[in-house]
Amino acid sequence: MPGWHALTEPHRKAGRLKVVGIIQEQHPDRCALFMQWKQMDWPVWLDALNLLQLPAVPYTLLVDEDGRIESVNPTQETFFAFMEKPPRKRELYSSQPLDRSPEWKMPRLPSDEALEVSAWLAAGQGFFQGSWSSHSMTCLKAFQQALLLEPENGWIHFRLGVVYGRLFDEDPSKPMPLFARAISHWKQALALDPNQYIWRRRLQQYGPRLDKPYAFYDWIDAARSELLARGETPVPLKVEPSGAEIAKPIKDVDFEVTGASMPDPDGRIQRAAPGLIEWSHVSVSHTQRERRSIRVHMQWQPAANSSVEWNNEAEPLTFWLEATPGWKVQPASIQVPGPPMDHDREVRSLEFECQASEDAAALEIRGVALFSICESSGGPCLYRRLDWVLSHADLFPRQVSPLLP
Amino acid sequence: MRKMQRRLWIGCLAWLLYASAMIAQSSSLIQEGETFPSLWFPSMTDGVPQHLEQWRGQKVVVHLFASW
Repeated sequence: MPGWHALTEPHRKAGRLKVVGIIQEQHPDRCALFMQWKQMDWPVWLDALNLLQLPAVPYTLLVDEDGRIESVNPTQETFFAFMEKPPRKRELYSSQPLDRSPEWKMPRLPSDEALEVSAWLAAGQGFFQGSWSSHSMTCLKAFQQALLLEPENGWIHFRLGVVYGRLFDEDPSKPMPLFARAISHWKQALALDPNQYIWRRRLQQYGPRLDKPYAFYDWIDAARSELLARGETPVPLKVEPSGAEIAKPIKDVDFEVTGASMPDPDGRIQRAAPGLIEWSHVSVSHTQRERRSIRVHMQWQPAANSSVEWNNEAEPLTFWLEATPGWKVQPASIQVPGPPMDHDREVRSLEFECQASEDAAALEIRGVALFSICESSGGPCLYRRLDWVLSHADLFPRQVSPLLP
Repeated sequence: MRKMQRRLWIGCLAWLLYASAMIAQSSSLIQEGETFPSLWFPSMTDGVPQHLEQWRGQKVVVHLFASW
């Protein structure tokens, strides 16, 4: 775009041209940071649902006075010719410049019996684009109803994935079932149209490094540093990029496994009583080599019906991981530090990847978690061990039903 | 240096050709000669839904992009 900026700026400043950006992003605040960093002083709109049905980005369009797309990805010469071309309906528009958006109207939810997919889609899109904060669940319902009527429609799957993804991001407790549904719908969308690169990118964003064309959000650190150096305060992010989103791609699997040693080989640390700590996971497979490369996202937290708390004064929550022979786990040992407070009950998140050699058997991951918990605020604190297993079926689940609550 | 610039230029040209072909073959609502689709998008500035209709009568350059 820098080339385009130099080309269009004189025309824009002279009032002969409007410039607008439409960004394909899930997170509005990341877009805002990107705009601040790149000093975009022209309007930018958000198309998280990919309503334009783009197969990829970037594209530049020349749109004439009648709203007709005159050129897609034009050359400089095409742009100059476009600017010199007289408007086709000069007499009509020169006297009626709008220069403001028409009035947006709140969509109406169709009746439960409505059978028109387009009506449900229009409602879902409308609520998402214009009144998400007050109608997020109505928006979800509209897309679910659309999918019930057309279960093999990849666009509905993709958009339902975006809705679940946003619900997950906005919920402070980050419930993994919402993330699982987002991933499941994006997978189903891609299975229906493997040529849709934007859908593929959405999975690769959260998937293993072997499947990454690039690190998706490593620009955020660079942007923040540059903004601070410019004396500006970077736009704060509601959702910091996850490990998967900033992980650098790898090209090959290195099978020289030099994992950390098991921290409690003799099993002397006492096991945690059942029901004190809960854990859940979502796995995101390679989009082409599904059973050979996978990234696992896990959450651990004190059980909702218990009063236990993480003890942050002791050593942090520690994991040791081991996979079926022929598979490599990275990292094999993980520490998840808590916040700077003595005790808390917040979710602890971790991610790791498994890559298979050619002759690897079905994947199973055995893990050991070591942690210090206190029975209640002010109660006794104990150092405990919890052994856990993720089976092949856990790691490669069948599709998640879209209509479960 | 010149060689690198030439390669970069060829790469950009190849992308333009490839991307144009890809969009023409896809189910995209963006097609040359067609009217820009009548859709609403929330503004990044204030979240208010916007419509390209507001610039009828003016020439517009639309950049479709992502930060990633």
